[in-house]
Amino acid sequence: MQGNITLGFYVPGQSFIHRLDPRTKILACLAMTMAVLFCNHPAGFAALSLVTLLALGLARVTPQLLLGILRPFGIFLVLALLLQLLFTPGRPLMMLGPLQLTREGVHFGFQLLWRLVLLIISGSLLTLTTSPLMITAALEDLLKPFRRVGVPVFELAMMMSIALRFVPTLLEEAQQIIRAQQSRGAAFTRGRLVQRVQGLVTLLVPLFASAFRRADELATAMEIRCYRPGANRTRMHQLRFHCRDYAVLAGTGVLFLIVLVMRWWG
Amino acid sequence: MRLSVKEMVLVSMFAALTAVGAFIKIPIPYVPFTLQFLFVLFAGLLLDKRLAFLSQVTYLALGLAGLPIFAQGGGPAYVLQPTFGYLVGFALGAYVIGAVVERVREKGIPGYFLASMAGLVVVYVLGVIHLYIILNYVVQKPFTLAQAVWFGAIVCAPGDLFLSLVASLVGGRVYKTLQSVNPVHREVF
Repeated sequence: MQGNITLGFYVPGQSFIHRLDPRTKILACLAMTMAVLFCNHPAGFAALSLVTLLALGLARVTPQLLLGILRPFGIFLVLALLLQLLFTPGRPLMMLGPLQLTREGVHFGFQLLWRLVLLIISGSLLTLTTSPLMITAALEDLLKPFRRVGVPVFELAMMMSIALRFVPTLLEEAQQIIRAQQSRGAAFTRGRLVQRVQGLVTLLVPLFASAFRRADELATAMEIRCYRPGANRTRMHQLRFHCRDYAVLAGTGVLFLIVLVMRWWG
Repeated sequence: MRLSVKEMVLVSMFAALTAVGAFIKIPIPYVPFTLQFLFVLFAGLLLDKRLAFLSQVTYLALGLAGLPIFAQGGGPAYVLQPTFGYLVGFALGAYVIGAVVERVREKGIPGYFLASMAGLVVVYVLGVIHLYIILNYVVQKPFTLAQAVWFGAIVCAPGDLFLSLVASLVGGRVYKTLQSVNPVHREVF
């Protein structure tokens, strides 16, 4: 977690995908995810893989970056593949002691692996090319209809932005407090249970005190500036759809429909 | 749902604290664990139930929006991780903790512990269900519910019980201090 936490996985850039409207990217990402989940035809998989490859190229994602994205899912992916390979009944290909590798196992195993990899990549393309603040703004806009049923959409977006701003501050503070208390002899990682509880308390009390003080100051500052929760607010950078957004939306929409058609009539 | 500015800021703070909790790892023999759940407990014990719920929804939304604040990263693909169910459980768990503690607050530490346990059960139920679904329908391997319960709840219970104990011991004191020292918070708590 080195570097700037508030940017998350975001890699700043000026590629075609970077310049798309964040709402387009969220919708396209959703369409791709659904398409990958519904797809059961080799041609569909080929098309989805090609589109994903194209998007990776357009976003200028390097192979190293791609590996970095997949690494946290490594154990999960390997486990999924192995379970399919070794425990699918069917025509045997070869024997490995008591286990047997079957034709069906290889087929299902790699199909599953490919499906998962496509899902992870299409999700990550969104977060690689869009900063969390932009995603928040886009979510606020996309979820607007839910205000009718009482979901505090504007407030949630604001709370996400505030939390985003305070994660690094509080993290740094927590680390400082841990070091300070350790230098005074607090035990977080050794000693008996009682000592560890006491160690945790010496971290929690100052951390809470500081968090509540900051919350208080910020709330006062916001109230002084007449911030009203839920009021219609304008923003510095208005989100706007361009031609490229319509093109991308139409493209992913068509792809999604093709996959659906192949599933039910193919 | 109407929120005041102060409530909104508090919700954000608890979302940020939960995120910070994911980065603090406590090595306990056999099962190292993070402090996320501790802040879920505090959100439930200190805030009103709907604020506690919102704080965890905010945390979840931020993680899904690409902040690496979950135990193993973040981003929309995190839904596929077998452990994602616990994060959803945090939101409902925080609500349940808040709802229970409302009724048993005057009973002191046992009351706080009872509320924490209720929350823990909710977190585990959702965690195990998600684990079960991922294993059976995504990985497509028949895991029995008993196996899912064993790996999803029993194995990680000691660490979470420890955190529940810490939260019940500290929660009451923090709540009282907040009420007596800082009258500003009275309207919220």
